[in-house]
Amino acid sequence: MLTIFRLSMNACRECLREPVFYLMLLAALIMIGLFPYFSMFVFRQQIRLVCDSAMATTMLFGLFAAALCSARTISREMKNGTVLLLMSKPVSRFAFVIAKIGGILISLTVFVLVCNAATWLSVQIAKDQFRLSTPLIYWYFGAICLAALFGGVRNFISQKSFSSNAVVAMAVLFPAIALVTQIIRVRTWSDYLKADTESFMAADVLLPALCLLFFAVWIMGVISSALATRMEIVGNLMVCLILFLIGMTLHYFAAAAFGTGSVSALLCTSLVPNWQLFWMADALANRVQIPASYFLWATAYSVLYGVAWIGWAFFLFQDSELARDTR
Amino acid sequence: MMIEAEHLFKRYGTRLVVDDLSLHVNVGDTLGFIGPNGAGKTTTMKMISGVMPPYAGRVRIDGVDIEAEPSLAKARIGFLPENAPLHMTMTVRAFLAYTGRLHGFSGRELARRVDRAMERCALKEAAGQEIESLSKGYKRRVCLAQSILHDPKALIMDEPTDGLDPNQKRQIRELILSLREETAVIISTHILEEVDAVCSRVFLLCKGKTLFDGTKDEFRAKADALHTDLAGLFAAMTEGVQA
Repeated sequence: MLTIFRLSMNACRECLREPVFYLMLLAALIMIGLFPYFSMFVFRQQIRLVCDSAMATTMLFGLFAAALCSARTISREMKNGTVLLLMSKPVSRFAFVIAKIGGILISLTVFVLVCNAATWLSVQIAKDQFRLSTPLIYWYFGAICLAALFGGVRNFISQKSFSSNAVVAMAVLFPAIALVTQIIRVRTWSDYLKADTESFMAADVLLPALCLLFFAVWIMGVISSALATRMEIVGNLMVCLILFLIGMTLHYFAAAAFGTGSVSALLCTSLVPNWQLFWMADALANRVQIPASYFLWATAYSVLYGVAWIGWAFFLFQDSELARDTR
Repeated sequence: MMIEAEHLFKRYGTRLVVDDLSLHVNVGDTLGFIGPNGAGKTTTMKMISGVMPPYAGRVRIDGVDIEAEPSLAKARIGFLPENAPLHMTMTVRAFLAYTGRLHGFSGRELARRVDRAMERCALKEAAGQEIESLSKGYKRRVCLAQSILHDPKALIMDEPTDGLDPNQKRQIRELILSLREETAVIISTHILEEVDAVCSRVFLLCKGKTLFDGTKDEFRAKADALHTDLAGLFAAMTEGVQA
């Protein structure tokens, strides 16, 4: 277990050190931060637009981050031969696969955590359709600059990785700012449950929807990790994108072709993950609270799906030829 | 016997790359594992070090079967892969500490072993540097340091001096010579000069088949009998098989 933990932490550090991981997170944050501007003058729909766009950004960028992380930590390790070093230590192939997937999932958790905190702030920035919360805008983009500054200083003074330090700073700053603003908001809004839905999104409605995005990105992380045992980054990304697009629509086409609830439709939709399960935009638009039973069911689905793909990853890695290019 | 490989076979698809290979290496022996490119040297190294399972046959390290008890057997092996692959973004010390932790060392014991490995491989001055910024010779030494950090009983090195300048080659060879007192060493190489410099035994492989397994003196005697040098004997023995 200790070996798996050490390998996982190392894989996570490798992911966070990647400049492309930081750039993707930065791009996602800038987009999420700008959505309140794009959704002004939209006839009382600005919160819905911000939520939809920010969640879609998190999901799509999370997918890219998953493919990139797995390609960097698994494919590259197999290509450049460092996997040979690990396999010659008292490390089993099973431990290697589990640890790498664990490390990738930890880094993806950081990614989604920051994006979700940014979404929460972005929703609060979009106060109403005609004006934005200016102080919060300063806090939002200030946090991005501060994180970059922290990474830069650490890099300049101690030669530490700019990317990993900037990402860690973001992972601290964004949830902290989101938490503080939420505390201030709830205290100043005496009866927030009856508040105008144009300008208020309750935490108990939005947070479960944001939490479901973790599951979606984790599943994509496990899938891309399994693919990375046999594929390079481009192929991995293409297959992940195809699975994403099919998974978004397959349940609809399967139901249309075989009938709702039929065994064939069920089999068909079991092959690829049903991303719609994790997409709660419609529920948010109607301010419907996601029931705990649905949340538990989505958790069980994610766990089962994740375990199945971990099995695949192990099967694919078990017989793979290690360090092909070094031979 | 420290390293025992018996009747190893390996296939890639339908191609047989290692064909009934058996070898034995004891502590104090340095086996030069030679052969032309594509002979199956690297594949054999991977099988002996437990990185890759053989199609058939068995490997034992210090009496421990590598397939039955991989963790126990691998704890006795130091492996230096070809081209010295390393985690480039780590510092030398961090990388060695990381590999040491995988062997179960921690705290003072880990620090002591890292310091000792760096000292033996003359890496002290580069301890805080990122591996990416090091020269090829230093990188090779870092990889060698990770392979000896846990005092292995069997040391398996794949092309340890390939691409190094003469001074770096000499340093690595001196280190190998200092290790063989307490370790069984296998060096895979196609540089015959290396065999002459550090090995006590020679194992010649071509197209997965064993062509010679004996002492360096026997190998040299065979060359003398044919009125040629080691390179001439190597060519004479392998060209026939390759044709």
